[in-house]
Amino acid sequence: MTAPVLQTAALAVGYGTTPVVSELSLSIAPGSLWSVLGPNGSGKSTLLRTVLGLLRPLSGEVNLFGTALGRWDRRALARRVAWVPQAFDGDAGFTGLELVLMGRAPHQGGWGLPGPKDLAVARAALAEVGVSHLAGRVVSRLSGGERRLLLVARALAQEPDLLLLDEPTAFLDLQHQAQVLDRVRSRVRNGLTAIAVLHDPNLAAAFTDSTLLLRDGRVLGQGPSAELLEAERLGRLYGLGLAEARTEAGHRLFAPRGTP
Amino acid sequence: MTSVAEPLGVEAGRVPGVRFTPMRAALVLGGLTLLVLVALGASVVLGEYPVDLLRALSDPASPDGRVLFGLRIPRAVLGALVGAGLAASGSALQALLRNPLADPFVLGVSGGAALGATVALAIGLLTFAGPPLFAFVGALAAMALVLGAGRASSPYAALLTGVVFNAFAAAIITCIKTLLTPDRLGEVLYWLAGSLGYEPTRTLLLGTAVQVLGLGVLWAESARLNLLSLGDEEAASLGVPVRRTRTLVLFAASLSVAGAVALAGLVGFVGLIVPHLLRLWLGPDQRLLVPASALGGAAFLVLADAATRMLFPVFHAEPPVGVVTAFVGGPLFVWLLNRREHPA
Repeated sequence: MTAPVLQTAALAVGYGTTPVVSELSLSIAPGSLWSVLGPNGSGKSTLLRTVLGLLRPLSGEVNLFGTALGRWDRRALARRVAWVPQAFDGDAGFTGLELVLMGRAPHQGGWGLPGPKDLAVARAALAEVGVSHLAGRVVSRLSGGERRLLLVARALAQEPDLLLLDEPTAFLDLQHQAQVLDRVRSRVRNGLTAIAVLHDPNLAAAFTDSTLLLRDGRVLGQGPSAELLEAERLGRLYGLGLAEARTEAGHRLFAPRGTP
Repeated sequence: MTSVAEPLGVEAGRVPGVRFTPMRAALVLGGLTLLVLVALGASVVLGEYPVDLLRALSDPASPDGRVLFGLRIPRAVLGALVGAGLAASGSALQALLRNPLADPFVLGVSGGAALGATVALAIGLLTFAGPPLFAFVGALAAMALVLGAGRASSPYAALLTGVVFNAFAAAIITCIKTLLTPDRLGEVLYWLAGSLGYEPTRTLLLGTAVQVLGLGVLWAESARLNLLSLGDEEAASLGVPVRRTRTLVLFAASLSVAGAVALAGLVGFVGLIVPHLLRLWLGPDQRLLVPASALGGAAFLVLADAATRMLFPVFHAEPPVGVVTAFVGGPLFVWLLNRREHPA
């Protein structure tokens, strides 16, 4: 059994001194796809930020690839861990390809001149997410969904071992939601480990191996998505009544019970 | 700006969708260098006293030679240095503060420099390099204060501290002005308006060294600046040591602006307009924008200064070059504000 990609022990995360989530113990094996579910403000993004080293853990331990988070050099970490942030609010004057090439930065020399390999990887990432046509377009002229797809492509171009996706399906139409998770899924089959913050339990059930449920600052449950995701538990997670159904193919579907 | 949507495929030195390539950079920077040389050439022959270049070059001791080597060339070099420093640091600060309309004076450097120079002029230090030296010290002190106070996680903290410091310095300057005799007041006002004088070679060499150092650091950091323009957290997730890079860029930009302000006073709009116009043409990549702004700023200020000399017969005095840059820059700025940042 290989070392876990990410391991946390008694981790507390948050801003300032108030923990948003505490007593978090996780062990994520290589080659798995996890979802993190929970109501707004339950600390999902805060957890990802902490794992990225953008926020200091309030207490507890984080180990990445067997090494304590605090001992990672930024650049070395960026070669192993990539992040798809929730929103893009940077300089929107770059083109799609320029933005995706920035994912190559941790692999390049200090001045970031792309070599043939960098260009090939960036173009392949654009094609993988289905946005090759955005290569020459300026980001400021793109829709929220198109920007989102470029951020996913950039993270894939980073060639990480661990991919952290913060609501990768936000702003995306149904087809693109499924497409993005499908592409991540096939990367995971080839050895990538991914953690995706999602808001749709149906997507979590359809695409992920394991799920972490966060509510009220603590872990409501974690484990295989197939066992964990059921109407009663999800109802407690979101604080509303949920109905569960199965498709002909056996996939579980969840929907809020209409208030009478 | 032309559309960059083209079919994929690589031709000689051109990569569709990528605007920074070594070949394009060489072409753009070569062209801008030529522009600077033309501006310098125009500046040394234009003026109230027409210089005959042939006579000046064949006999440096002739009146033409003395005007050319003693006055025109040093002043053109001074203009180029000041313009380069203001425009290139303006470009870097616009990326760092993620505000395309940021100005090189936002970090409090102008307030500090003006305060330093005002104190020097007020106490009558008109001898060797009094105002420039005091301005430089004032600018660096302001920078240290702003960097110290702006240590918080957001780049806006530095920006806000700078703005507040500028207002504070302006109040002290007003206070000093009320205590001055009319002659001294005139000197202070002329300096504050931004003007190019006649600096000794030693001062010019020192100014050149400051700009080479400041702009060199900015260019060296320009790829990381690109990543920082995406946001601190994204830059960090792409491997940029955010705090170190930000401090280094702020320091280099402040050094360069302090060097420029010390030599010429507060010349406005160069650091705002030049990088912004070049950005429309070249895109936001700082690896190209920093050196292009340095060259563009140099050409712009040298030409603006030549214009002040052409205006001598009109006003029977030379208006400060800051007045010319403001006349050109103000309307341009309004025009830029009123158009979409990224045209089709």
